Amino acid sequence: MANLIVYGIYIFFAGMAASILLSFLKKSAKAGNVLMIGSGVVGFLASVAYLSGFSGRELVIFQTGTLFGISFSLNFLSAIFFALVSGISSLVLIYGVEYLRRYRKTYPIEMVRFLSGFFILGMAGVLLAGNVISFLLFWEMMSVASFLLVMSDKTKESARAAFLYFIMTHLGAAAILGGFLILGGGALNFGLGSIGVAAKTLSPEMLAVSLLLFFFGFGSKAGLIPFHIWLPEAHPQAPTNISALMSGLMLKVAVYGFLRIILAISGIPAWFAILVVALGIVSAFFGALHAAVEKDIKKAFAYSSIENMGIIFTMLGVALYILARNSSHEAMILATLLFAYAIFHAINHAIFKTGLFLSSGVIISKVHSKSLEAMGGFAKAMPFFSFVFLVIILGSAALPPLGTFYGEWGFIRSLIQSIWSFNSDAASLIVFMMILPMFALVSGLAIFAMVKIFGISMLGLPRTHWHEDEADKENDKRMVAPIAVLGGLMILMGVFAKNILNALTEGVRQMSAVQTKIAPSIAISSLRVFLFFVLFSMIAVLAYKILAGRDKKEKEREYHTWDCGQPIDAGMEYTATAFASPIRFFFLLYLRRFKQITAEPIVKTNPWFVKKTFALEVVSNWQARVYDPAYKAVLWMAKKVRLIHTGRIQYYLLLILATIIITLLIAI
Amino acid sequence: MSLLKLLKMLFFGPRVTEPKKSFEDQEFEKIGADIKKEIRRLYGGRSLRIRAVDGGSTNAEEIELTALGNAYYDIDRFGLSFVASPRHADMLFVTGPVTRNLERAVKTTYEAAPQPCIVVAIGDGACIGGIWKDSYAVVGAVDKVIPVHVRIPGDPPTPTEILKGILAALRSAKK
Repeated sequence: MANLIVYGIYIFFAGMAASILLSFLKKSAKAGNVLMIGSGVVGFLASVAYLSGFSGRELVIFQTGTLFGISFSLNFLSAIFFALVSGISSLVLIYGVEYLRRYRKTYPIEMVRFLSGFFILGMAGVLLAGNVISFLLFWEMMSVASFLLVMSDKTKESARAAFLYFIMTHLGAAAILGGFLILGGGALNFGLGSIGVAAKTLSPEMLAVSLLLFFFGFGSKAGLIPFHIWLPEAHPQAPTNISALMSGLMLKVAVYGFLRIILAISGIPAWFAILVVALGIVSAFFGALHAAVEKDIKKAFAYSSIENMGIIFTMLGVALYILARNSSHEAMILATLLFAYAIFHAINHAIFKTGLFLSSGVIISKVHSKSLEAMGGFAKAMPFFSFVFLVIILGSAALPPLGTFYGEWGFIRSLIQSIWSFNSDAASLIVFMMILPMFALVSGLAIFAMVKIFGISMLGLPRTHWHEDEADKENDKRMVAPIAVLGGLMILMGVFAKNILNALTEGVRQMSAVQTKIAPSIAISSLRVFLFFVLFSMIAVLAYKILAGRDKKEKEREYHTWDCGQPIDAGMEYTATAFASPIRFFFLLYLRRFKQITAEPIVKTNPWFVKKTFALEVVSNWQARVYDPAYKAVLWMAKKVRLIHTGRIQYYLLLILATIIITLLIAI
Repeated sequence: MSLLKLLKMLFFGPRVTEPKKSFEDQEFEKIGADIKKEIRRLYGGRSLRIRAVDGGSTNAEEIELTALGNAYYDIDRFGLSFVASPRHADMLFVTGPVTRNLERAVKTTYEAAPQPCIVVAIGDGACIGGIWKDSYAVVGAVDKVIPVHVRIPGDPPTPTEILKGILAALRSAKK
């Protein structure tokens, strides 16, 4: 069995590498794509096989003494995330066939396939990496490939977003490199398995520095506020299938990296945990708020990603805090549970965010605009698609009986349990009591945002005329099918939430540095909830059928809504801007809003007949208050530094000499 | 001075109100009583609900229709009443030549009313097109848009004539 799994992973890597080569050649691009999808499926099956026969043992896939001791291995955590990456990316690739065909004029198809091969390979490599060198190598591959993918439509905005992403992601990568350097005492060729041992040799101050560096590195990749600035720019600018990969999977790779670090290191200080919680909850709140007021559908989804990343980091932070504050057995069980909830939420987020982005691609290919104000009317035109979208939207709003609900519900339960069960001190109580209402607010805002997106984009009348040719209409199901699979996965995650959570807690218990003897039990009965749900919906449908049938006996004639003689058109519909207006109003203090109404006379001599235009722009405060001043400061410093750049070689030689003298002085 | 004038007029001026007897219209009362009987026959004690649609009239017909509801004519006592939505109506009053802008309104009002629905065209414009006949701006008489059961000519018809028309319509209607 173990051999088969190893071969499966080999096939995945070989297939990916071969398909990258194939897709570079124009003739064999199609074969390359099929090979890529196939190897993704093989990788998925291999990791699922590993998980189903999980024995708590790490599976070494590849090891060599040379080449800096590069090694690859599969453990519980990486197997989960590897299954996500290989499985979901093959779905996205299937979707990409039709999607890229539609946009063949906008995006260079071969290039996108070639780079997305590298992108997926990079993510898989990070997850399977057994030592630091290979981890960093594949991390870089992932970053560079996604950077190039963001600007694949070669417009000015894309290039701007891509470079912003490039800068942020490289600051993050540098921080991760620094963190590993501190952990390894200057060396990089140690295994990821020995992080815990390496951390024990560090002084508390150095450990704190490396933890902060890791947090910045992984947090900026995950889009935590205030390092999030690139995310709502870069994710929407990429082609939609790439946005799905970035938001659904790449962010999970960042979560994986952070989890690997914090699970391995014991004795993480409480202030670090509080920092994680604080940034997590702030990201969750602002992400949800922006998702609620944003009218660009892809941007709204990107902000929703920030929100969910915030939720995951809050869960992790609370677990770390409990571990740091209380060393009782009960606390460890609770922390294990919280880690499991965080991983569970990450899995769910990978599924539904991929689904959401893929759906947005279907919508955008019809209305040719990213703005919600141009959508609407899909429920009538594409009923199956809008049903699938509804399932995924409900999943992202964390409503039962879908998987996301159990993750968030379980987190709230554990919070309340931790307030009650062990006598926590005042500080812990304050921390927990701060998180609870914030979390409730975030959930409410997330539901608001999702209701807005679904209602405006699917219901009502279409706001624009769809220009679609018949061939595209025929091929719609090729794009909808992968989304339907994701929707089905969402439901399965809900039905088997308890079993999955139990398996996760068991796995985390074996992975983490602090081990508990008894596996914690999950007090959620998802199967029963699902059965109740099915039962109630069946009763509702039956009751409707019976009641409606009884009414049918009387004379009945169907006629559209009474419109007072004036035809109802899309202009009368609720707009996304108007729908979000109460939320915008409540948070005016934070949101920067520019409102402009201009009246222009149509005939210059007649002031009475005017053409009025209304413009509303909501921009992030972070950009104006944090990033712009920093940018100005850097420019100012660069100007000052330029004073010593005279352009004379003698002068530069003098500078070098001065540098050497100062360095020597410090060294002595 | 003017105050004195006012007081003088108030106390010693002529009476402006008339006794009820002097303006009782026997014909109108009789038609009203007949309508009441017909409505009882057709609707079993319930009242007849009317929706008035303006198909582009000069408003002359509308003034007469308004008069139907005043204290003098007071058609509510015969079991007739105006409603605000075609969904509640048994009878449609259409006035004026149907202009192109209001063609859809007339048509959808008829479609939205529950069947059977009696359509009454009121005024010359509604019956034949009036002085706007064959104009590019009008569709023409109401029967070019929806089926018409009773036509009440006149520009505008008097309230009594309108009631006569309603009575004729109700008489011809089968239960």
